[in-house]
Amino acid sequence: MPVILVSSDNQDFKVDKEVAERSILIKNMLEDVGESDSPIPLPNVTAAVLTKVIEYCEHHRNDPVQVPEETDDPRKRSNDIEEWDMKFMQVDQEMLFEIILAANYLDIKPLLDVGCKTVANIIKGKTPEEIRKAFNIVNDFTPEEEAQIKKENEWAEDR
Amino acid sequence: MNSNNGGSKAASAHALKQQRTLPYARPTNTSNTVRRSPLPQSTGSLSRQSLVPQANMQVETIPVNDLVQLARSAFSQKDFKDALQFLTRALAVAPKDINLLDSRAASYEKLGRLDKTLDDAKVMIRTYPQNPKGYLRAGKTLRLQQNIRAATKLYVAGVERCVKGSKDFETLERMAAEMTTKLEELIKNETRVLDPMERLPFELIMVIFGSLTFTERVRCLTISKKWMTYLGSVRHFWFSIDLARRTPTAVRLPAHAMFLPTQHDLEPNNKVTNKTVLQLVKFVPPRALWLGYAQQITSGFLSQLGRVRRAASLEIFSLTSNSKIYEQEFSQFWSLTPRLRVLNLHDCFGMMDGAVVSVIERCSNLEELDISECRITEACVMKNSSVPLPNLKKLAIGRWETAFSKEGIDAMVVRFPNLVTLDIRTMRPKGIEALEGLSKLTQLKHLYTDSIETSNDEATIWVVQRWVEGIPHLESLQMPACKGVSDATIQLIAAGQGEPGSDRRGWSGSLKMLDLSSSPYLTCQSLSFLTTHPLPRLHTLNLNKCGRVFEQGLCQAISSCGSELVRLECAGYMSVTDKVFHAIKDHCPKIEMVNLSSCGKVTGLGLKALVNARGRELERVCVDNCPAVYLDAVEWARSILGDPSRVSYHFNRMNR
Repeated sequence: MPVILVSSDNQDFKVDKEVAERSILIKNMLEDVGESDSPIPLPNVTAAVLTKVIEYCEHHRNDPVQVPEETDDPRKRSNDIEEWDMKFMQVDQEMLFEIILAANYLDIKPLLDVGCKTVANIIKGKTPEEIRKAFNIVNDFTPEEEAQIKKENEWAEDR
Repeated sequence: MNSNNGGSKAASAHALKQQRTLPYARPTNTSNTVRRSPLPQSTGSLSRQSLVPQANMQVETIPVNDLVQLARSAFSQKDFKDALQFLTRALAVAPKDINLLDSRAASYEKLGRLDKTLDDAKVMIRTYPQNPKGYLRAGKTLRLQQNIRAATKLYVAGVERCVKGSKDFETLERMAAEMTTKLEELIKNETRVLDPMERLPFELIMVIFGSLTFTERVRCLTISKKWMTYLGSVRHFWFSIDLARRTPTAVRLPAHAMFLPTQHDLEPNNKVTNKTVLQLVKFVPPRALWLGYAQQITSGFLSQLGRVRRAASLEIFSLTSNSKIYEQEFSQFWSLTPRLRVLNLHDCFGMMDGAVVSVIERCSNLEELDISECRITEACVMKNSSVPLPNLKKLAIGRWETAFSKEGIDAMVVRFPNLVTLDIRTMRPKGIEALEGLSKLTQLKHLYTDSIETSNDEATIWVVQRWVEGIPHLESLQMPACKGVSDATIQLIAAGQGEPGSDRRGWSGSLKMLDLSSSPYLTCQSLSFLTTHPLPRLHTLNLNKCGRVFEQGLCQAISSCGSELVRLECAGYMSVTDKVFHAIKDHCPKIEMVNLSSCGKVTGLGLKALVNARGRELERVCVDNCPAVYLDAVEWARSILGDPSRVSYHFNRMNR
């Protein structure tokens, strides 16, 4: 049975229940409401973002429910994004943040993870200047402060 | 700003050109005649050329209408400078004519003098506040100046003030609407904050930055004040200050395959200074300080750390190969660190007997202590020997300046009765019998010693026998390059002496790691002994370069002890053939790392067989200096294993 999701800008999205239930929030809402075909309003998600989120859920509709696992191995952290997910996350950063926020709100843990990893990967291996550029951040240290900081953190630069 | 500059530059270039070609300075030419001809009828016989010099005259003799016509024709011929002159003259007569002002503003605009255009537009608006023309002109100028905000404001004001109904008003209205949307978009873009610190909730910031390495996190501190404040406020990011540079291999080896107990795979770290550390500990009193091979940590560092109250919280402190902190400073520091659990001062010049005595006395919680390669003597454990450290589980204490006696080793055993891991590599005993005292360490699981140099077989057998009796659950035994290791040693390890009242057979029930590499007196006989008395739990076996061992013995060891084997090293056997590869393939279902370097007769076929059997489970194969293995087999293996670094294949001429 399809479920109708309504974005913040009032667009309807008809998706399979199975797909919609990738979102724990929606799953809980559906359970709470019981059998009902009334549309589910998602006031925190715009149509553009919801389209992406649904695309993700469609692709991962058959994934087994993720067991939270703690890995201590630093090699396995952050880099292990599936190829499809990696491509899926190739959006501008505005959209990337929107997707993360939507995943957080809708409680879609794997999507949230992929989003956070993508942001982490943007930061990884970049110089401070490159990081600032990537996120449109203004360097608000005074030249003296910056020189001081640079000196203290010289060791962190070449690795 | 930019466009303005460009505009005025273009304008001045234009003006320059105009100057050169001013009508009165210019000889009559064809272009001039062409210009003259389309003059409208009403100008009569007046030619522009003859009129221009009169521009500066006080009294205007030409009727305004004619001037307008002249200007219009000049304008239409893109002779804006001339148009400007005529219009200025006309305006001198009728200063408030809106059409004249508008035209002159247009000419100024064409000449790139947007400031002048704006002046005229302002006059228009001031004089005719209800006429859209002024607003349109000013708006256009502001737009050309890229001042979208002011332009939009002006258009909107114009729509409010002007009289409706004209065509100009419609244009104004349209422009106002158009610019409003444009402005909104602009504002949206300008304020589009992409800083994750601003956009994402704090718990997600913690997830994202939690997945970075310590170094990367430090780099992030320098992005902006906000980042520094935010990241600095996440306390658990800074409990562990890790500034050590580790060699890449330290990361590659799976933990279970690393040889215990101590790893010193650190690289020199010259950029970490006292200041670096003091800056990083300011956020929160750290629990762990990993400074690694930091040579620039100098005298005064520890006392500074104490002064800023960042010592008392320390549980882990690691600094290796440092020669700039002296004994006195170390000794005093330990009274500030009551919570210290792990201390690694491998190869630290200042860690001398006094400092060791002090740390043993002050830090009763100590669980791990590495003072290998420090300038200590056995006196450091013999002094005040009534104070034991019952919590100490791991000790690395090799390289004594003087050889140690039986009293020394006994004192050590008394002071650290619950040791689980003991590393006494390069420690010289005064007679092999002194090592007998280790048998009182009943908790011992990991032992590393390469000190059994004596070829006194009987004494060695006696010591090892005492160990086997006294230490019930030894899991790893590393005795590389020991002349004292012989076939009898292996028999004791695998079968014991039939201890009274116990059916324990040596360490066969507990031993997981055995390193007997470079044992010159080990022979095949002891390895075939393993076929009847196997070590079934072994996961690591190192039999590199045992001079009297041959292929048959190796294969017997592999087949009898292979069931749990993860890492196998049997490098340096020129006579070994592919049989070893096949033995590994057939008897070691869990094998991940194989070292067969410098094995003269192993070939690509053996390598292929093993790679085929294990596939990507095979973490690493080393066939360095194997002359009979060809590159194509290596390439094939690398492609199957999916990572070129998994097959090591180097040659150095010495071994070849």
